[in-house]
Amino acid sequence: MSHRMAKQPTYYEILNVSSEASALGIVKAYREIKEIYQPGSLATYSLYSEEELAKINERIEEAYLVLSNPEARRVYDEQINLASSSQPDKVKTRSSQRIHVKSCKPGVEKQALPEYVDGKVLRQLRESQGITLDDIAKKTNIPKLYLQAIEVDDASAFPGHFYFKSYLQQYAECIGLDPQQTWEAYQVHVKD
Amino acid sequence: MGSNKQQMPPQIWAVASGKGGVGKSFVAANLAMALASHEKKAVLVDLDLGSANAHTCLGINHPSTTLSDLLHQKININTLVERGHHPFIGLISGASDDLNMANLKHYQKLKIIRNLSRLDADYVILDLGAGTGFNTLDFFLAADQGILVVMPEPTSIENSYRFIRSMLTRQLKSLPKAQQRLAYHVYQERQSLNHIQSFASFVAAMVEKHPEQAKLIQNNIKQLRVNLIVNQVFEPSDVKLGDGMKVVTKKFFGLDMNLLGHLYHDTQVIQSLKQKLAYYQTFPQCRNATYLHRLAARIITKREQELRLS
Repeated sequence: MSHRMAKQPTYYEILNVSSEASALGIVKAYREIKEIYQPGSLATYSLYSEEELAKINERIEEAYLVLSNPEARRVYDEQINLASSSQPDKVKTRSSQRIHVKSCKPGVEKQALPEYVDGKVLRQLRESQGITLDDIAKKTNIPKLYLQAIEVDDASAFPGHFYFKSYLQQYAECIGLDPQQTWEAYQVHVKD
Repeated sequence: MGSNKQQMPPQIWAVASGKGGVGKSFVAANLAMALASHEKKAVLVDLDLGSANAHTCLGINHPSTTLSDLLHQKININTLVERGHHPFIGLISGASDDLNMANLKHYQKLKIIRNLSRLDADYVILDLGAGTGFNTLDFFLAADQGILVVMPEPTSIENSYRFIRSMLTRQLKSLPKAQQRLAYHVYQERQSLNHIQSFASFVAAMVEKHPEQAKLIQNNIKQLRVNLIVNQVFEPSDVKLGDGMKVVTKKFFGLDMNLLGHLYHDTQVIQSLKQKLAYYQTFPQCRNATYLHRLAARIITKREQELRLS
């Protein structure tokens, strides 16, 4: 069992909610996930044994207990951030492999974030550095379709909010922008 | 609008279900009708090879030509299309009598798939056999988009998850031989470790042991386009089943499903079948007919979005 637990999901992943969710968002997510994993639920039928379900519910409670308490949540956030930067934690390896891609071509310099950020601005910034979409696709393993979607501000093309954010951040990193800031600025103009 | 569309190959949607009797053929046939009512040319292909009956759902008599003609003779697949009551709808029947059709050889499947994209249509809807037979899985994986039909009932859900698992393991076959052997090895190792294991945890084990190969598998899974339709909904709470299954499928299998929508239980379905009439055409004011209309609209926008991006 301990071997299987090697890859521990975060509390956010357990509640199936973004790490930036509001307090209300956490409550809502908790209720939804509780309903899905309650004993006798149809949605999980045949996938888990009773013990496994009990264990999952325990973890859901644990996650909710921490995330619903602002102070505990802050501490936890710090913890998982620390864990991902200081040691190669299993939870983070998959995402960090992608997120910590530095620029695509050697010699791409850090760019200052423009005041207004949308797909068009990003494309211009990319082209001005002579980086092609194929370069980015190759480096990040993101299908080109989604990279194009970023540049035409089409949030609906993504299979989910998480992908949208993750892909945009990786894209930003590839053209020398700060991923977090770019995401925040981009979000202002493009609703998903 | 229609002129340049003709050169474009049709988008292929495969409809499958883990268990028989959930209304898969009904959904496939009526979705084709709904697409036709949106003025899209739709061809329904009955690939439920052993027991083809899509023609009944469409209200067409048993067609004279079948898919097996394609395998035995050199003919254009478009000549096999039987026209329905609506000018935009066509049907290709699977052979219900040819014994060999139920057990297709690999090259025969490839031939069918190749020919499907030559059909003169905007959408090709494949009505696949229920269960996890290789025919069904292979056609499902080969299609552009897959629809899994489920109904709010334990047996159907259990078999749907079985279908997803079979589909994911079957798609390991598309890996290069060496990688495939590695993956199967890890898979079996994991399976002997604990009786029930999530596909996601298998992929996680692959990431740990063979990161390069794992990337291939993850990419393959990401490329799968699986949509869910909850059929025969009785109570309002059943509607939520789709959302729940989407979450659980992501966690347990690592597969992102798209929830296409739901349809209600309706006794008039049986009535329309008895009268040898197509439901969608017979009861266009029904709640389900409007839902089908909406589902078809979603399918159309989905494709248009993809086209705009590519």
